[in-house]
Amino acid sequence: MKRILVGLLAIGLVAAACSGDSAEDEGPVKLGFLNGQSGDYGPWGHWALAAAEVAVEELNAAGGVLGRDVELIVEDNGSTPEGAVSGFAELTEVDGIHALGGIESDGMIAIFDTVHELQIPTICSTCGTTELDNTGGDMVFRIIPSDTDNGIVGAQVARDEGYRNVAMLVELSEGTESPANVFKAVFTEQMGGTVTEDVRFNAGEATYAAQVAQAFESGADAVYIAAGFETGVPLLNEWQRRGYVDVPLILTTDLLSPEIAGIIGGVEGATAIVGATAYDTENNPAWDAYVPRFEAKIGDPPEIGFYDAWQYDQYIVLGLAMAKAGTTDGAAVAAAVPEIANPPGVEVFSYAQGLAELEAGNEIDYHGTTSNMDLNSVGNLLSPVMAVIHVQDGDWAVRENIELDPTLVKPS
Amino acid sequence: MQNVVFGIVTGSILAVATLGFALVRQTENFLNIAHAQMMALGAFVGVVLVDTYGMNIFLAGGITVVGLGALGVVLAAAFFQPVRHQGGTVLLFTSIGLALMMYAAILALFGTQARFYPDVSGGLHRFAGIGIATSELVIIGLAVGSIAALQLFLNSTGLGRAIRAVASNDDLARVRGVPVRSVSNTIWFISSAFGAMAGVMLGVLGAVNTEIGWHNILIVLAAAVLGGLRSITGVILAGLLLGIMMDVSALFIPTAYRPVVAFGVLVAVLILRPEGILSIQRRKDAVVA
Repeated sequence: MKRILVGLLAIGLVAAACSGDSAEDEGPVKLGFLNGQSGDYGPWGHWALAAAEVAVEELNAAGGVLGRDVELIVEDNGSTPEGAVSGFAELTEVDGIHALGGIESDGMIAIFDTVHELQIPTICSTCGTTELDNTGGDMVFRIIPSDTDNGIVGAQVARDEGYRNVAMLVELSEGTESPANVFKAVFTEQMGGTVTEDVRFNAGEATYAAQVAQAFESGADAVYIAAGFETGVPLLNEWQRRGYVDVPLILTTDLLSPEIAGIIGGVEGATAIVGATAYDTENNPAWDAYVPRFEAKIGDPPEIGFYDAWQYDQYIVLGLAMAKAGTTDGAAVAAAVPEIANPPGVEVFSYAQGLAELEAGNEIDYHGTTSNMDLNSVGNLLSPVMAVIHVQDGDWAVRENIELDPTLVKPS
Repeated sequence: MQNVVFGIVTGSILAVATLGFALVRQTENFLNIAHAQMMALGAFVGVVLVDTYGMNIFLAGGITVVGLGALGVVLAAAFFQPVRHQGGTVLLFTSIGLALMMYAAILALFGTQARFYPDVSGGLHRFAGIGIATSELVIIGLAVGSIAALQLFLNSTGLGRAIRAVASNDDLARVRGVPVRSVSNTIWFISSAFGAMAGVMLGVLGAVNTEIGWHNILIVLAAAVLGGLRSITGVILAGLLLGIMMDVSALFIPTAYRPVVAFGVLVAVLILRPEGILSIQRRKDAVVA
């Protein structure tokens, strides 16, 4: 009797396992979108989601991935690590996603280990954290410049503007301290500049009057501000309220929001620049095809610093990687990501184009809307497109594209 | 000196917030943790009236203060009155539960997106090299005016005297025919209105987000303990003192440690003078001795 029971149990387990496999290979391919639709990244959430939807529509219009419909499953992480952890659990345990995109720095660090444990191929479209400078490449890939690049370009811009003495206002969080620390090291150690005050503060303070005064009263040529949007607005209100508007601002990418541009643009004589990553707009078929579809969806063209095109690129990369791997299996898809993003291969600018080449048995090299997508051995972008961005007519605009100064190196 | 001015602004808001908190502590005999969510609600209601409905900031502030004062009376009747006879511990836990419910309601009603009052700074004035914005002067003025009005109300009206009687000995007050229920309603109205006013002030100077209540409750508690939970004058002084200490400390230590100053003072007071800086009990003891 005991043997019969054990036998029945074994048959049941095998049947359950088999039915699990078949369910895995059927139904839609599920792409998770774990993003700050509210909180610090909320101002960009609408654009980010629209771009992700444009990508998924493109995948489905080309017949889907592996012949299956593609479904975008959205989770708002509230721009917090806690939200990322709970959102990721929902996406994996309840929704059963096959790959993940949309995540930001703090959230990525929070789920980094779990992503590897569960073998969920993840593309970080908006995380610049230096934590990923040497730790990705097998399951996590980053298609936006590192904060190391952002910190270096910030220092480069400060140098090129002729600022020798800079004060810093830095919010205490991974995403803001990361580029600020690189900026400080490069500006002082490699350029010989002086940081007159380095003011670090917590988010959520009742007022920032003391912090702002400390930085702006330090005799600096310019003030470097690395803060989230929710802190940036009261900081800049204080900057305006106290009459420090003659002191130029160097801002980080997290502050490239319309509200911030509105505050700065509303002050006569105020200058603010951002050394940041930009879209790859020159002679790029991927960009040319993306813009009208994004505009049709949202009613506005892509805006600089809104991170939207990266949200688009990541899902095209994941779709092509799944097509290349011939499966949604996490390890196989992750292994295929650098294969379709890097040369050698036929250069392609869309999912349909890439799919056709793959079906023809050719290797492909996908070129996205934001860069050539070439990745190094740790899954980081090799050649980010950088620009100097400033406020023009109350909105952010690219002043000039620049290349990272090769003489400036990542601080040790 | 500039940082002292910043501290006076911070301290004024803290004094208004703490006064509402301490008033309930004195008369209802428990720490109302939900007071912080009344501050958050005040900040949100005010910004919606100003930003969405284009209302004048003073009108919006007035409606918010009166409306949330009334809401405070309703919430007290619904949540605190039924368990009042069970003592301070039950009331404390009820207030924590109410705080969580109010927090959830704020999330549901206003979302998690930060909001901002339009710039109402009204320019910067300089006196002997010290800058102060019009909005900051208005905040200090409103704080002084409302606290003075409360003192006047408590000292010069029948209802005010009844509140003081309840605060001193509610059993005796009841025996002597003081209308305890209407006194309680008045206390809840004033406390909630002060909380809402502090919330609007915080929003005007900073950002309005869902965490604004949680961020401030411990500092309010610190000010209340520092001032002595049974002394209104002590609470006002404590609020100002903490505000000034936090902002002046920025000159000597990294501003990231600003809240640590408040709690360092709190711990020191609890060790050295647990009855607060102005203690009614200590003065009574001194008279007896």
